[in-house]
Amino acid sequence: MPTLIILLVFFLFLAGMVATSLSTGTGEPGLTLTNYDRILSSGFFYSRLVLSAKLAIFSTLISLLLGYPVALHMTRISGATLKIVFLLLTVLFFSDYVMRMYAVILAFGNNGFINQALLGIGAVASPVHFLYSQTGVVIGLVAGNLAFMIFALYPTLSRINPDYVAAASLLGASPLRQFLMVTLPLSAPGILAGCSLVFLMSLNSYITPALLGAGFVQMIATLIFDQAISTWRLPLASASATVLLVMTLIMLAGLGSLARLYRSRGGRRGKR
Amino acid sequence: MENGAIRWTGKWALPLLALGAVLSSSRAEAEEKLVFMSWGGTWATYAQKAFVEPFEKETGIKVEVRAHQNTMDGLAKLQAVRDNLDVDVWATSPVPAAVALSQGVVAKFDPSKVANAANLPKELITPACIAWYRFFFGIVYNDQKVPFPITQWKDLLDPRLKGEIAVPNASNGEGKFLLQLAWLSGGSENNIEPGFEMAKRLRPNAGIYYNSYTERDKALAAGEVSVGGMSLVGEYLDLAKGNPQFKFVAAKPFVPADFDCFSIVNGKNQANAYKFVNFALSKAAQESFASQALVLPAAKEAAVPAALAPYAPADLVYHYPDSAIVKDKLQNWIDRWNQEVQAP
Repeated sequence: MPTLIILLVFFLFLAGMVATSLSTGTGEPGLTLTNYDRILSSGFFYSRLVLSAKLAIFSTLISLLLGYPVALHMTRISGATLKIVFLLLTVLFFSDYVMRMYAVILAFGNNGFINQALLGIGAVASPVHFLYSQTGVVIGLVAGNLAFMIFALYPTLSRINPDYVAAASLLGASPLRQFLMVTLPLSAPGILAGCSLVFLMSLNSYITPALLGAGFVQMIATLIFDQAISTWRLPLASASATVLLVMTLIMLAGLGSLARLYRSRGGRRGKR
Repeated sequence: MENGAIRWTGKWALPLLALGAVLSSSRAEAEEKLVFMSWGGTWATYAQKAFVEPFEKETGIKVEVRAHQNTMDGLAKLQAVRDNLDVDVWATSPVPAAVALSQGVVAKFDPSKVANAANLPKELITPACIAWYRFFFGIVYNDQKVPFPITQWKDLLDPRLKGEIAVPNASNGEGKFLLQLAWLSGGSENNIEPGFEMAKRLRPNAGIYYNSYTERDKALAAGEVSVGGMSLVGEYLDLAKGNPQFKFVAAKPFVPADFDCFSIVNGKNQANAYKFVNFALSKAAQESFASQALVLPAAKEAAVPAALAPYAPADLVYHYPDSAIVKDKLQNWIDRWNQEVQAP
């Protein structure tokens, strides 16, 4: 019963957003598809969506490349060391997202300590502009979402039966082959979960492009903010948000199909 | 007998108490009241001291102060209760006030009902609202990093400032910077093209585009940029505390100016609303608020705060936007700014 109530409240909010997207916004009665027409015929909306998807894909891949070794290493440590790593990850996970973005500015900004170090050793003659660009936004998205990737990967990796890896080793497989033929395929559910989570959070991110894009990088969430708050066009913003929601659901459905395909090919084998 | 007296008192105590509660609440409802919606935080504190509490004391009308986060939030709140408006005076800025007037949420402002309106310049009274206080924008720059003293707005185009300027986007301040660029280039509210051309020429010098002054001032303090366009004096004074390298200039040939204002909400308490606004525009209230908030008073007779005077010389030329025109064009300006200037 409580679940139904929570779901009902959630869907009521969504229904309100869809209803607003069909209104004229001028107080006149009646429904209209004008807002959807404007959005779907707007080259600028599509260009922001494509840009958002591109930056989300980059940040997801980088988070995976950085997070996977960390999660894998966590399965090979134990005791106090594992507890310390978990503690550090938990602190990172629960730290304020905005403060993490300001930490990125402190590290990568024109006056940040990375540039100061590079200038200090003479590697560069003037500060490297890491931020206020698409690069800066990707750095911020990775910094903000890496912990999610690690927490999604670790449970799957920790459940892989070590006997399978040992068996591969006994049969003469090199460490790389053991990883590619045993560990990686068995960690696919965790990879899918982590990538889904990080991709969706990156796609819909507002704070990171607002702070680290500094106006040069406008992702879809900042566009919707402008429509709703800066120009008082709630119906148009609601239509944009609804289109984004539908596209997100389609992507989720696609990822779900991949997961089902994996399971149907015997993906449950190899668990402890 | 004593027992009987006690029993009598005990039996009627509860009903008498209840009757007293009903009577006192009725008396409270019969008290006049007024609801004032404005910015919260320090602004609300300054307003309390400057005119809310003195107004209550003088008139006996109880003032309830409600906070909105920003004018858009305030407009949304009023729109949500438009059939049963329970706010009487709304502190806002001219463009949202004009939007609210077009939607019938605020009443057409009648200056004849505010005696102190005669002390305000005509440009500070619009059909939708009357000025509460004025402000103007200048340029803040780090004189240890900028290789020349900035004196004019067109100095922002100097190639020596490449990547060094925090530029306000078109959403910030209802398009004031874009309009300033247009005015500087011979354009106007009805001819914004020169503003867009100048904004595109300025792009190589933009270090960041910001939506709020806190983003700008954080970037200045962190050394990410060395020039901040469109800063208020109060914001500069906060930034300069502990950062003496920052300078403020009311750049030539004129400064973009604007005002925040009072709108009379289209409800049933307009008579008290006008009384309240008139009180807030008195010399004493204006000087009290201006000195606390470091803004320019709207009333001509009120003195400019001493801390502000060095930055606002008597011969400073203020250029106010026409909010009635901006209201209809702002959405298009913001869309075009995003697509053509900021993130093409």
